[in-house]
Amino acid sequence: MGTPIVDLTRIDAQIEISVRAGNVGVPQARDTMQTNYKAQDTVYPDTIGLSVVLRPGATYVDLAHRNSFRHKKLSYATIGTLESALGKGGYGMLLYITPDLPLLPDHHLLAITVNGVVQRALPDDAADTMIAALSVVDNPYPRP
Amino acid sequence: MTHPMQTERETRTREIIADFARLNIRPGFEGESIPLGTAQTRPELADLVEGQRVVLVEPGNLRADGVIAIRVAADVRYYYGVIVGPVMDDPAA
Repeated sequence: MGTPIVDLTRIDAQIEISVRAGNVGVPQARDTMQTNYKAQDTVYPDTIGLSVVLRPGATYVDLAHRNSFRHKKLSYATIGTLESALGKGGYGMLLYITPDLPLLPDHHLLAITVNGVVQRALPDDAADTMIAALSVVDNPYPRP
Repeated sequence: MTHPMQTERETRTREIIADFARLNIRPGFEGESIPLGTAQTRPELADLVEGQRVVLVEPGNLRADGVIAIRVAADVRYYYGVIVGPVMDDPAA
């Protein structure tokens, strides 16, 4: 059985918050995202994508509290914002449900799709679109 | 002592890009670890060996000393970076 995915048609895309830990405002952000997009592991070997956290109804502050990040900055957007921005470039997105206990209970992997097909690498323009769509804020609960 | 023929690159600890957003406690690892991927999707990992000292870095965000751990599943080698030193801000930030 494959890793389950979020049914994006059944959630309020304007409320759900997706957070990527770390500051995507740094100059190396695109290269780093493209490398980390491909960081598969043994637990979810059929998946690929960017690390995000997501929980219905939770704000980025809630997510930062429930999950554990060392980063001083967080980058976040609503799912609707990301979907809309990616859609303008012909891309879609898919969210694998990949809880990673004990520190990341709300963990998901965000994969980019083209015509519904998951991309095995993160395209330059899709990465740039995501970087532009994400807001960078201080992490309210950085783990020491 | 460094041999005179060794290049600076050979004597420096290798830096490996890692996603510190995936730093977690995982069974079977001595310390918190970060999945790095496979050599199929990240060819630069192919010559890393178990126990090799590296610097794990998320440029502009975080870095830490680490060692490489390798796990095999379905005949595929999965590489992990295990943290062995303090997690620090990356100076590029």
